[in-house]
Amino acid sequence: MLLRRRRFDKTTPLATALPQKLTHHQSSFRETERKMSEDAKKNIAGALTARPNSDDQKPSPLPSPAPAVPPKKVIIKSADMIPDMQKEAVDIAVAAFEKYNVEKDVAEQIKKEFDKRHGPTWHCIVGRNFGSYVTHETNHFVYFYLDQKAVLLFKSG
Amino acid sequence: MLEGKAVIGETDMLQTMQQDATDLASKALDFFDVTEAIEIARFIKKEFDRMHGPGWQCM
Repeated sequence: MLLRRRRFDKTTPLATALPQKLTHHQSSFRETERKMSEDAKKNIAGALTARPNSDDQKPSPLPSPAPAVPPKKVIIKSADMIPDMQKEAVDIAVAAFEKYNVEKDVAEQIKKEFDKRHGPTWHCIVGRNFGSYVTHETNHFVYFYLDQKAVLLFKSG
Repeated sequence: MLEGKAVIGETDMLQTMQQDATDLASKALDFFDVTEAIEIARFIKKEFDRMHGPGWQCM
């Protein structure tokens, strides 16, 4: 299986660079969260100015009842993984969050499930505030948010 | 040098390597601001790769 590196040294011509075995990835949940909250504020302000109240936007007299557990907001921040596997990761994470409250237990569940389904060795980090610098196999990395929690899942070793 | 005591939470590592880890973490916090999580992680990971062979991860 050929693996690649995402970035090349400026002095290395792209054509002569050999495919690398592993890919480096860095992420910081706190920094992205801060940027996103600023963007969200802008979007909200835009929505308020762009969509004034009007009669045709009034809710219907019989609104459908809201589900007991609202669906989690999923944002894939970075991925080097086939879409099917990304969806699988999100689904497993959602189930893990429903089952456990402690981040360590959630991470353990996701890691073990991926080891079982896709072979060893997967690594999973779950949290609200962390930075990372990891090396992963190509096509085996995903970093996403579920509501206010970040999930980093990758294969290495 | 940053003041403060490193507390090992959990470990499965030689004592000398643990010392390397805490020393590098301390050095990283001298080089970078505490909010620069990526840079701190990158520094520790790359130094460990150099000192103890490739394949380290750092969060």
